[in-house]
Amino acid sequence: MKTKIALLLFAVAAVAGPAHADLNVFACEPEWGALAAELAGDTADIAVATTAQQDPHYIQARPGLIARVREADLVVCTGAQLEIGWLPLLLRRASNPKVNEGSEGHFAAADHVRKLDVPSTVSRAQGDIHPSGNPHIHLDPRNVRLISRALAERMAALDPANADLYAQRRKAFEERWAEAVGRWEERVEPLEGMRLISHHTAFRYLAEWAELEIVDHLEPKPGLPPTSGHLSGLLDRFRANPPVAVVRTPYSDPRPSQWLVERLAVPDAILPYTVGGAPGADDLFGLFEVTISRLEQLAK
Amino acid sequence: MRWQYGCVAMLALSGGTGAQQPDHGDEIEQLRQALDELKTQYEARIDTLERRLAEAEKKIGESAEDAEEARQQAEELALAPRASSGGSTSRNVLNPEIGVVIQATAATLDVEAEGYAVPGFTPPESAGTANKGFSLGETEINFQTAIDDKFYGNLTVALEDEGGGTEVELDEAWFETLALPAGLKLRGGRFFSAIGYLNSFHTHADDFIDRPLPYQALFGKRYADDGVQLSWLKPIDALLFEFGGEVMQGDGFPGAAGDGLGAFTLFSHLGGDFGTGSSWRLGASYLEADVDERTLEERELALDPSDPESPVVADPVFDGESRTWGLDFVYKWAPNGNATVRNFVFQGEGFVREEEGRLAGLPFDGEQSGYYVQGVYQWQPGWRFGYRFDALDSDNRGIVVPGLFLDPLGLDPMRHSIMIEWSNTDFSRIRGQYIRDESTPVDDDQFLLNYVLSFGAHAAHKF
Repeated sequence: MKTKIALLLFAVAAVAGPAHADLNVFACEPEWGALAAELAGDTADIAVATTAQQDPHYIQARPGLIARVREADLVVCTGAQLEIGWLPLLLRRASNPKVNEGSEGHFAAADHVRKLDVPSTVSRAQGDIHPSGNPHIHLDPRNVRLISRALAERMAALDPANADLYAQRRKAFEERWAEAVGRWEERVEPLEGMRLISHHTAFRYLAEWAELEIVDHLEPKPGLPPTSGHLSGLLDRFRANPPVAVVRTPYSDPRPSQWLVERLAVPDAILPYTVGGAPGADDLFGLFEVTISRLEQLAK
Repeated sequence: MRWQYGCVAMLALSGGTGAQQPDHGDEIEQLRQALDELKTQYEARIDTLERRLAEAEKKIGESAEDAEEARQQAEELALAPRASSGGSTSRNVLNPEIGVVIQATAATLDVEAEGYAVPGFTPPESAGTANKGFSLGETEINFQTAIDDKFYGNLTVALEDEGGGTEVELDEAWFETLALPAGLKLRGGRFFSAIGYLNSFHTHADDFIDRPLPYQALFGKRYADDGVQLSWLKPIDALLFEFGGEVMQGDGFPGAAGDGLGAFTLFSHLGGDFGTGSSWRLGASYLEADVDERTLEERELALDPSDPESPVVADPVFDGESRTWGLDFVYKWAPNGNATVRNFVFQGEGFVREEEGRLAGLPFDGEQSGYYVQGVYQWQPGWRFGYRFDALDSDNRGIVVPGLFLDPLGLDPMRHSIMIEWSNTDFSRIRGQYIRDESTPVDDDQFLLNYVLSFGAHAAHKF
């Protein structure tokens, strides 16, 4: 009798046909979801694993994510060990040979740009270290252009029937992007040398491009939660010469920032970090518009 | 412009001479011709110069375009990934991921881990909460990697102190497929069974220092064996359905078989998300084992307890059938799905086991069950707090003799545990745990302190 009940429990297999787009894309982070959407439009069905409110370092291989990777033709992630804690397991659990590492359906954006802060020695004593360099590459708009080319080529290779469409959309995107980057470069010029304290090393590439000066981080070592000792050390160091603001991503713990800004009497600024990170940052263009506007406000 | 001035000057000169000397007509004509010649020559040269100027101007424009193009190329080059200098020729590059876990526990408790027994249950040797005082527990070395594009391999070796010496135990040694079609996956070798929720986790990944009672009493920490596992993954919209089964040698407790293929399991999971903040998984599992001479070591069974002189059976042996049903669920929540700052995990599992056969040669019909529920809350990065309740129940008939180990002694074995944990990174955790243990006839207040440190390959965040 009990065996029968047990067997009944297992007989739940329903078969529902998911909607089939030409290309099923699984993007690890919102910025790559947005880029894929620019390049593929409605041709692709795009699932994004994380939101701007989630720390992309720490995600769990949830059943819902496994289900989406299982269906994917193309996985678009940052790489450079950003997703090391969850993507390998997700891929293994999903057992989808199309998107395994090394397959054509596995696209790592960081492979296509130069990483900053590649450590010469690697030790976990340096914090949650990324041996291949800082992975938050998308906040330099010049990187986005390079990656868009590589991604469009990859999409065309996977879905040759729509190759022309990807090439056209890529060209259109690149033209709009170049025009926008020109405008943004003019806007960030007066911000040169702006001094900021950042929660995590998330804005490294933004600072590199806009020539901002990130004077220190709330995290004592990359990825380690801020400690009260480190925070009071920052307070002592910057009391006399405070930075313009303390910046953080939407997913960072607000408490360390709030503690420090109160004492330094500077603004606590959330930069959108990625698509969806603030009202108006609905796509990659919006992301940079909002980011630069926030920086301009801080500079006033 | 210069030729215009020249012409005006020359015309003025010629007009002047004409007015002064009207009779020198020939000379004037000659002069005029000479001037015309000069003028044509100048015009030609000036034309050439103008053409060259225009060409030069065009060239400057072109080179500006070239310069812009070169600037873009330089920018791309600067941003493009650097080819690794010389390329690594080291043979280490393809080494597997190596992870080491070291841990130790300090415990104050009255119950001896040696001969751990809960009335009404027959746990195997591997059961037991913690040793009194300091103990290292299992030190683990793990190797894993993709073997090629089709296979993934995993090897876990545990080092454990056993009666003065160090024992090396092969915890896991399995391969699994990476590229079977249609969501199928095959695993073979020695592995932790996929039944239940905690079963396939290594104990150092648990939220509490010790395994909950149902695992201790029914599996001796976990059910593991040598065999093969086939599973099938089927996404249903955003839900994930998984169904699988295992065929095992049958040596792992509760099994015991000399002739092989003595056990099989079935398991099924359904999981998904509620919005971005929560996700869940429900599971059901079944384990059936042919038990052939399972020896309950270091236990004595008096055949007639009313008679103090009754013959005693040492190390009684069980032969028969063992069936276990299990249900499990886990629910995880974090604000906006961002578990780094705050998160909450709620989980529970229950198992029912029926065993039928002969114990020490006499008929035995046992029903044993257990469950636990627990919640763990992280209130700020690095800090977590948890509560767990676990309980057992048994109803054994047949050879059960009042006052002996298969008699529950009218006890409802249960425990309350609270845990607090600090973790500096993913790689280091320090935990304290208090257990109110009412699972044995002597109630016990237990305090445990434990660290788990892992180094090497990055720990995966398994759901």
